Formats: sequence, C-alpha cells, structure tokens
Amino acid sequence: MIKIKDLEKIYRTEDVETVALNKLSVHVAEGEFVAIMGPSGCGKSTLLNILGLLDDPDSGSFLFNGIEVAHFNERKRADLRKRNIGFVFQSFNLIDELTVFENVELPLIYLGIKAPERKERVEKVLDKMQIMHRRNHYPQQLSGGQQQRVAVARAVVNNPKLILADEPTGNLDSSNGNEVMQLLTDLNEQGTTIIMVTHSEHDARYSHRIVRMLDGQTVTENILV
Amino acid sequence: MLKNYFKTALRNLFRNKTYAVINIGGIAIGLTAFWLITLYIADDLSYDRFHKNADRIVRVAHHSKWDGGELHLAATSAPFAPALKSAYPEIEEAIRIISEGGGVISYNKKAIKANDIFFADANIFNVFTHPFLYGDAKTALTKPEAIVLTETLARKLFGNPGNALNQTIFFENNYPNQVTGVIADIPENAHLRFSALRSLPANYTGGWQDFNLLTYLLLSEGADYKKLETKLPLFAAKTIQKEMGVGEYRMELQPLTSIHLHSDLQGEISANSSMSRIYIFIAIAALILIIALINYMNLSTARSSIRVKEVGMRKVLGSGRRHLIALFITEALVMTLFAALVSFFLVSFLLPFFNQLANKNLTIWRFGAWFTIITLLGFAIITGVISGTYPAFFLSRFKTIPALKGQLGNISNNILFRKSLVVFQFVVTVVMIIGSLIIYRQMQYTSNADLGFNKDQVLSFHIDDRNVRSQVGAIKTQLLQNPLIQNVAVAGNPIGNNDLGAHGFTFEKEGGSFLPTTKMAQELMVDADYIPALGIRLVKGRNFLASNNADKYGAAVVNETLVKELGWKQPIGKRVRFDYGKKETGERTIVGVVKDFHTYSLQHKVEPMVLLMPPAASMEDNLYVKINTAKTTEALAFIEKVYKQFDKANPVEFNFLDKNFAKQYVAEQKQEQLSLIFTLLAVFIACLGLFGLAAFTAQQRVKEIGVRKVLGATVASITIMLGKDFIKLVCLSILIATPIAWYAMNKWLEDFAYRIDIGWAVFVIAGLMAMFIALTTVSFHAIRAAIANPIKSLRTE
Repeated sequence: MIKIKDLEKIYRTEDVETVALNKLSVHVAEGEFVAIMGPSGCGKSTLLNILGLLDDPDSGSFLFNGIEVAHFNERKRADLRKRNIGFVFQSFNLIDELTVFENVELPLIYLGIKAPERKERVEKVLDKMQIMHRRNHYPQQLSGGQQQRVAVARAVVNNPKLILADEPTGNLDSSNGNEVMQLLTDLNEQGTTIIMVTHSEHDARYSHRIVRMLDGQTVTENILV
Repeated sequence: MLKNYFKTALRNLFRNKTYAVINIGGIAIGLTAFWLITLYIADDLSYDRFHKNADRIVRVAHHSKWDGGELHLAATSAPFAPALKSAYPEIEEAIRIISEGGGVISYNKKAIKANDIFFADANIFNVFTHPFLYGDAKTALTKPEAIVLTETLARKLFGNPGNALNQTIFFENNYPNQVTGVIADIPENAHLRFSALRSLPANYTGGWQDFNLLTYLLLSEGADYKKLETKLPLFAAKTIQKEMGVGEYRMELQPLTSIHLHSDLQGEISANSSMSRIYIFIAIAALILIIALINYMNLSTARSSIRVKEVGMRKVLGSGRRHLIALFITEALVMTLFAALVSFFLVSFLLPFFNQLANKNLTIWRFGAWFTIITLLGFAIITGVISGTYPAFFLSRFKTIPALKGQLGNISNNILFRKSLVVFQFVVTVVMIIGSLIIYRQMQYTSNADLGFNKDQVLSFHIDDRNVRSQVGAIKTQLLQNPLIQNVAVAGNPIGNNDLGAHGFTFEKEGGSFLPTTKMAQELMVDADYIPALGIRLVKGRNFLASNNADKYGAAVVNETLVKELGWKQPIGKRVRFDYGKKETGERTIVGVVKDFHTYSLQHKVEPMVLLMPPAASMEDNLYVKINTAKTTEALAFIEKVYKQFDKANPVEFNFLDKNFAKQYVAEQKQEQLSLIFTLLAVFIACLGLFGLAAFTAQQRVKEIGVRKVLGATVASITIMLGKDFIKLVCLSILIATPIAWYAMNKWLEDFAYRIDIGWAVFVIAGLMAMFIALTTVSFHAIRAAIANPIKSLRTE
C-alpha cells in the first residue's frame, strides 16, 4: 500500500539545518499493522506527517496505493487525505464546541456527504465504539478513554484505507489504553492498514511489525507475527 | 455545513462570555450610535420635502459688496415678488411672507400670545402644501383681515378646531381677523414654521431697500432655476441694484430643499443646520462603528492561540481554507446579529433622550417597520462580513502541523497590524477628546465674552398694546421708585435674537458731500436711557438727551465699526440720511460714538450700527429693565405689578438678554453635548477593546509571569512589563492625533467671528487624559496578573 524510497526531509532555520529524515525507505503492505518506534528526535513524527499527507518530503519517492504523491500540492494532498486516511492523536484533538456526534460527523461534512447518510454512518460507528449513549455530550464531559474512542470513531467514519495513530495511548491509563489498542486491533482485523508511532513496547506488541528508527533512518525491523 | 458553522459560532459565544460581552457590547454601542445619527441626518436631509412642489420652489436671496460693507441676505423687499413674476413667464407663482404678524390673540375670554404668525400673499397655498382641515385653500387669504390657523392654535382658542371657521378673533387694540381656514400643524422638518397665517393686502408694497420679508417663487414644470438665475443680473440692474447704487450685486435662487442645510444668510427665518455638521456627524458615526469593529478584529486575532488547534484539526479532517474562512465569518455574523438585536433595544430606550438633546422628534420606525428591519439586518450582515474577514483570513492560514501543536507560526505581521489597529482607535479617541475640549472652551468663551454691554442684569419685554407705548414715561417713573430697579429704557427691538436686520443709509463723507452709494447698517431705535441702562460705553461725543426734542428728530449715535468703515476722522457732526421707499426720508446729525457692542451672537461680526431715537411712541415697544439680580423674583413681581396697572389685558413675557444670546448658541451647545457623548462612547468602546486585549495578554503570559516572580520580580516591574507595550501605542496615537485635531478644530472655529486661540494646553490635557484612561484600563489586568500566586500558574503549566 505504501512504498517509501530514499525519503529526505530537512528543516532549515536561519542558523540551523536539521535532517529529520535521511534517505529513509520503508514499505507497508495493505492490511498490515506497523508500529514505528525510536527515541525523541529520530524522525517518527516527521515520517507520520508525510505518511498522513500533512507534509511533503524534500526528495525521494512516496507511492500511496501505486500513486506517486511525494510532490503533490496541498490541495491534492488534502483531497487524498480526507478520502483515505484517518488520524488518532495522543491528545485526542476533539473540537470542544462540538458534541460527540458532531465531532465524528465532521469528516463526512468535508466529504460532502448528505445529512441522512451522515447520520446513519455516524450512529453505526458510535455504536461500534460503544459510545452511542454519549452522543450529545461534549468532549469536556468525557473521560480520557471515552474521548479517545470518539477520536477513533472519527478516524474510521469515512472508511479509510489507512489509520495513522500518534501515541494513541499516551494520555491514557493502562486499562483505557488497552481498550484503545484492542479497538485498533479489531479495525486492523477487518482490513484497515494501521501505522502507529509509539514509545510503548507494550503497545507495539499489538502490531505485526516494529520498525525502529534512529537519526532519520530505519535501523531494525522486527516481525512479531 | 452552515448549520455546523452556526452551532460552532453560538457555542463559542456562550463559552467565552467575557469576550462575547465585550464584542457584542462594543458593536451594539457602535450600531446604536450609527443608527441614532442616521435618523438625525435623515431628518435634516428631509426638510421641506413634504411640499408637493418642493422641487420647483426657490427662495430669493441676494448678495452685494461695496467699499466698506457687504450684504448676504435671505430677506428681500415687497417689490421683488410682483416684479419677478411679471418679468419671467417661467415663474408660475411668486409669494411674500412677513414674519411680524404675531401678537396676543383674544377670543371670548381667552388671550393667547402667539409670536410665530406670518403675513402671506393669498396664493401661498398654491406654492406650499398645507392640508386644509376646514376652509378652502383657494379663497382663505383672498380677503383682508383673514387668518388661517394651524390645528394646535385653533384648539387652544376654540377647543374643537372645527368650531374655528368664520369666527372672529382679535389682535391688540381690538383689531379683528376672521378665521377662514384651519390647516394641519406644520411638520417639524420645515424651515418655515408658523402657528397661523394672516392675509397680506394684495396691494402691499414698500421700498426696494426695505428688506423685511421673504420671497418664494414656484417655477413652472421643467423650468431650470439655474437658467433663470442667469437672467437675473439684468433684472437687478434695472431695479434693486439701481436703487442701492452698488457696483457688485447678485440675486440668488435657493432651492427650497437646500435652505435648511445650505443656507446661512442674514435674516434667516429659523436656525438652520449645515452640511458641515452633517458631515461631522457622519464621520463620528462611522468612526465609532469602526472602533467597535476593530475591537472585534483585534480580539479575534489576539485569541487565535485558543483556536489554532481546532484550525489544525479541521484541516486534517479535510477542511479547505474557504471552509475555515466561512466558519469565522459566520462567527462574526452571529456576533453582529446579536449586536443588532441589542442595538434595537438600546435605540428604542435612548431615542427620547436623544430627541431632547438634538431638539428633534425622531422615531425608530421613521422609514417604516419592514424597511427598518431589513436595513438593520442587511447592515448587520455587512458589518459582520467586514469585521470577520481579516480574522477569517488570518486564522485560516495557519499551517496544519504547527497548528496541531498549538503553534501560531510567524505572526509578526499580524501583531504589527493589531498594534496599528489599536493606534488607529486611540487616534480617533484622542481627536474626539481634543475636539470636545475645544468645543467646550469655545462655548464657555461665547457665554462669558464681553459683549460690550451688561447683559446679565438686563431683561426686556414687549409692549403689545400701542396705547400703553405712549405711557412709557409714566411706567418708567413708577418702576424706578423701587430700589430693585436700577434703570429703565425703551428700544424698538430686543437684541440677541439675531434678527435686527439692516437698512441702507447714506452717509456724509469728509468734506461735506454725501457718499454716492448707500451703506447697509443695523438700525436700533433707542431712548436716552438705553446706553446707560445697558452699560454701553461712549467713546466720543454724547448720548441722546431725553429733554431735547431736537435729538428725537435730528440726532444719531453710531458705533466704532461704522466710523472705521467710513474712514471718518471726525464723526461728530457728520450727517446720515435714510430713505424708506421714497415716502419717508430723514436726516440726522451724529452726536456720539459708542464702543462696539454685540447685538448678534458671536458667530457674527459686529456690524456698523446707527442708533436713532424713536420718532413716534408706537416704536417704543420694547422695555429694557436693569434689575438687582440678588432679588430677581421680587424685582420681576414688582415689574409685573406696575405694568399691569397700564396694561390689564396682555401678559408680560420677560426675556433676559443673556438668555436671548444663549439661545443663538443652542445649535452649537447641542453639538457640544452630542460630541461629548459620542466622545465618551468612543473612549468606552476603545477601552473595551484594550481591556480585552490586556486580559488576553496577561492570560497568555501567565507562565512567564510565574517564572519571573519566582526569580524575584516585583509586582511593580511585572505591571510595567505588561502595560508598557500598550502605553507606547497610546503615546504614538497622541502624536498622530494632535495635528489632525488641530486642523479639524481650526476649521470648526472658522464658523465663529469671535473665537478662542487653541493653544497647546488642550493637547497636553487630552494626551494626559488618554494616557490615564489607557493606564487605568490596562493596569486592572496587569496588577491582577502581577499579584497572582506563581505556584498556581506554574502548577497548571
């Protein structure tokens, strides 16, 4: 599904040049669950941003489902992103002014889906995440675990091919964290490709493969299953 | 999508109540001020438009210039109307109106004083539109001694206006007038307002130079008044200009609908407004609204750090920039729609007070309910789009990844823009403060200026009954028996009402011969007691002698301005001739020169003046009494008691001279009060914005403040740190505002013939006031942040 070859990303300020990704190459097959690990500053978040089409590399190749997207402009990236990719963040990033239902509905609004279909799909996914009973609550009224379940619901409501999770359990206790990891595993079993950035060895064991990074490059890959 | 935007906007509003109140409050006040001023301006612009023929009616005015004098007069004389009508076929109707038809009206046992009664030609109702409730417009004023009452006056006299028709009412000396019609009250927005019209004899005439009436023309359909104006020099050369013997003379045709806002001549029938006042009000209204909108823009962009993550997340989820722009503009729209609703209630509540201040009768539904509501909504929408556009573009351009981390990126341009907006707000505020201070000082100056006579102790009242006028000597003697009465005099007119008018005189020049042309001068008929009673100073020669009949028919006193304009080295003994339509001529010899004294308010320069003794008792119709003001009430009671012995029928209406003059400044005083109120509003709104910004800045820097305190910073140093950026901006505002205010107020002061020197003190005071206001506003949050416990702020972080 994803083929990255010799990807480079350099951050430049007036005084400093930082090589975030140093000719990195990695493949992710469809239906895989891959964990990316590494120390702070190794380039994990940069890689995730590029995988999520939030940022573009300075050089190298990035094939997404066979399409070269490395030098897509912002509009093309946004279009591809909203149709194919869902995001789960460490700090949930729910919008406080919107209810649970409205938060999950938002990606469908941006896709131009009509209201009746939106309602049906949102209710289905809320039910699946077992958060339907809180549909009219606001994020501030939910626990951390519940908020992350809403974030996962939002990430899957547009039936994405790929879910990117950035430290999804970072702000959760172990019980809630396990719950979220189980959710992701279930989604993966249903066919969704998942790439997860994590510091947690425990969480990484839910994946099929662990890719370890250092200084902008992959150093090892461990296949777990 | 729109539903989502509205929901987000509303919920944002309720979550952040302080900022919602600041924004909605500020915009609502701005909209309210704008609305009130719009009603005021619309009323002023609507004057005289209710006449069906408004577009075809013009008033005749004239201008002239000669050595040592000039004339710009709304008043013309009797021959103008008939002569113009017969000379120009495009003049369908020509009418004359004389304002001296008032007096005390009696009917049965009722006596009502009505000074606002005019004489008019019978065809006045062919020109002006005054709906008849009773009677026939075609014939109402065709007979002599006919009178048409307005509904209110008819009600006062007859109870039911329907009872008025064909009744006979009486003016002084039992002079009868038959009521031939009752018309609707004259609307407020008319430059010509009266409570009744009396018939002018069809053969009424007078001298060409007897400028004592107003001439109006109704032009035929399609006639161009400007084209007619170009023909008038020929007419003038054969008539009035020849009579006056002046080289420079011009007649002007003033469109009826332009009089109220564009005419400022001598002899105006009522106090007009001016376009410059309208422009000033428009500018004030626009500026107040702009200040409120700037607040919104500033606060929205300043608070962008609160929204940045949301912006990032929406972009991740697929929102394009245009969706975000639409979202933020919707938020601004929701704000302004709420503000419009609040403004509706504010206007409804404030309108009665505003009407009192502005001396108008405005209603909120002036333009009709639907039109008002639709305009208000439309205006709110436009305001919302304008105020929301910059924040929308600013907030929507945050890059996705930094936004997700809560980073704003490089916003130095925005910070600079925000600072410019604050500077702009305070420039406007400081200019308005300076303006208000200068207006106040000018008003104080005009109230307290030396008018050349003692206005504070002198009152005047009109002797209505002609018979009583011949007993003036006896009245004086009786009044002077009381020590509260210090002096009594008579004159032909009260002064201070700006209505003395001017006449043409022929003056002797050095060498003995008379000047070939007449010179316009004010004429005041006074007795020998007048000059001492008013404390007017004699600089040369002597006063009139009461005992001397020769003075009554042969003496004149002039003022310094006349002497200067004529270039007289030795004025005493010079002769002056006056000419009233060749039927009455007179010659007087100058016996004295008085120091200039003001008979008009200080908007007008002192004009040349000739004082003559009244040749007939009928002209001694204004009694001037100088009283001991320590016991005013007693003195007034005594005067009334004495006067009643001579005139049982007519009431005494006292007019203190200082109040007469003060009335001439009503328009400027209203302007002073209105400008003060709007200045306060502008200051309040600007402070609201500064308050919000200061609150936000303090909140943003709470961690920094905590760290600084732990490291040893004092409350004072932190307060200064938080406040100094704002204070720098206010200082810059003061520097920019000063030359703008100086220029604008100099222009305003040009309307006054006698004015203050602006000086530098007012700028310093205004600057200090602005600084004090800004400091007070900012320091509330600065001090609060500075005294907060650092442990709390650091723990939270």
